[in-house]
Amino acid sequence: MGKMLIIDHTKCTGCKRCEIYCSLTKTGTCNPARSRIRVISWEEEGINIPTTCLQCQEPLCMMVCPVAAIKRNEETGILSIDAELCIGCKMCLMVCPFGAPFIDMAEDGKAFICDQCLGEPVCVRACPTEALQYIEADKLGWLQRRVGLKKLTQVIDRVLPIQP
Amino acid sequence: MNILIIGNGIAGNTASLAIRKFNKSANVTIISEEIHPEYSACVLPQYIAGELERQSVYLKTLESYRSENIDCLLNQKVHGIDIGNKRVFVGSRSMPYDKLILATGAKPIIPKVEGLDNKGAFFLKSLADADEIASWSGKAAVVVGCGPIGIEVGIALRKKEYEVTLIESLDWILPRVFNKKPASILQKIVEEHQIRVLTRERVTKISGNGKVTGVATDKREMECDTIILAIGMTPNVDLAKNAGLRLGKLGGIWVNKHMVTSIEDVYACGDCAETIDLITKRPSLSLLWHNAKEQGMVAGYNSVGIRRQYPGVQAITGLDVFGIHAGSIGNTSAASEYSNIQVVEGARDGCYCGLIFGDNILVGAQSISKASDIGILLGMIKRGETIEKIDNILNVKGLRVAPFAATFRSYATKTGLVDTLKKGY
Repeated sequence: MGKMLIIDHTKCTGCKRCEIYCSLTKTGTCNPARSRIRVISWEEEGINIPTTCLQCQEPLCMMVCPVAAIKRNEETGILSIDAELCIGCKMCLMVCPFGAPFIDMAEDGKAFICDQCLGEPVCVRACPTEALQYIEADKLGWLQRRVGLKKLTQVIDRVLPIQP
Repeated sequence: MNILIIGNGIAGNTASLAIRKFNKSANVTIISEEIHPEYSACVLPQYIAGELERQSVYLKTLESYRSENIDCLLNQKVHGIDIGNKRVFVGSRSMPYDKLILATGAKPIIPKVEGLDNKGAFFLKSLADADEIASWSGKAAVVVGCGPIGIEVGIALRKKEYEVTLIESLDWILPRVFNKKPASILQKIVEEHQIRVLTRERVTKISGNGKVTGVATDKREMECDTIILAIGMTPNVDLAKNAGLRLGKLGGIWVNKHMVTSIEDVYACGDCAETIDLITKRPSLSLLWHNAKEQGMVAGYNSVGIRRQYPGVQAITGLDVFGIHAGSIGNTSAASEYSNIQVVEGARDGCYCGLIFGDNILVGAQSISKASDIGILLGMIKRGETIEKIDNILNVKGLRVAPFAATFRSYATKTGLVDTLKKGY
């Protein structure tokens, strides 16, 4: 069945341990600019939203990659960018609605996305408030994601009021 | 069931993958007039420049087709379709089909100038073209046409130490992709690398003695030994036209939302097909990789009975200009059909950000050196966000669209828009 990452931003304090742990694990350096997860903040409103690759069913990044470097693992279903094939063209950066891919200049200017640490996401372990969880992608999992999204839309409404 | 796919590019191959996702038993055959397994046309300039190995241009090996249980007939030209009997003519034989998918792509537009038959004059479309250019030893090149292909091949030849002159008949380079200001910034970058750029100039003649010796334009003559003709691409529709398929207003093969042509069981996808623009809903030929890929997927789905609809093409172009990224999504100011166009732009320290609003709605965005997070703007264009709402979205911390936000803020302050925006908080 596989697992999915769910994010409850109401529990996120904006501490950014996830960014530190991610970059340390994936690159060996403590560098949030090289983290695959980012926390977006509305500081005046006190809202923090961790964002990362949401592992789309029909990824826009895969649609634009000219060298087929973005692949889905058949067993786990997890998307990742093959660094050997990536030519650093930045088309994936241009299309992801969540801004998930980024260029790592320390890695030849190639693009990277979160690959859920191939099944054991470090950010989830690092999060002190359980804002990040990794749960079974069954019906209950999707329900939890919907709840999280509902909270998110309520919050977005507050900071981005829809004009009449 | 027999499914025939004519064309071995990204559209045809994506169609075949989509078919196999749902149907393992149908006979799926791809017929290609080229000798190569699937390759990426997008990276040919990098191969020509010597930055990418030739091997890396390929996306598939012959084995890839076998493992997907897809027959691939290479170096075979389909020269006719018998619609009534559902057969295609290949070489001296005919093959039956239950479903036919046309993915014949596009071909370079041939300019009406004499001298094209001189050695040293090239088009760039296929791997065979790229091989010829890569193995050609020239010193001075003239590139006719400054769309993305012309610019990329000009840069590639400059990297191989050719003297390069770019000639464009319209007012600035990349005229259908960028507005005037970003185009002029890109022109400066290109000129800093010793490429000469001539705009508002038209090539009238190629001179040669069997080999190219020079070109004449409407303003001057110049010597060269290499010419690349890159004035545009046009859909390959001869097969379709001769078979009686309907063509669209713009000359591509007409298809409906399910990628079905005017004849049942015959589909078209990729550069050869005429679809609609996702945002404007008008007929459009947007000959780009991701459009071809998505159309191939939709055609494949529909060919096995899954009634998926194609939402329309999107203009998304990214270029590397000597290490500097230039990107454009949506409409340029010129391409728009809106009564009121507003351009919000700013340039600083080699970066450029531009937002294009048509009738107060975001319709395009362009950037130089700021590729990250344009995807968020792409979403905004698709949703038709208004100018009032943009400010809030752009000022989110952590989003790397800060340069766009700063540009927008400065525009809003100057024009008084900031007062309108304050009311929304």
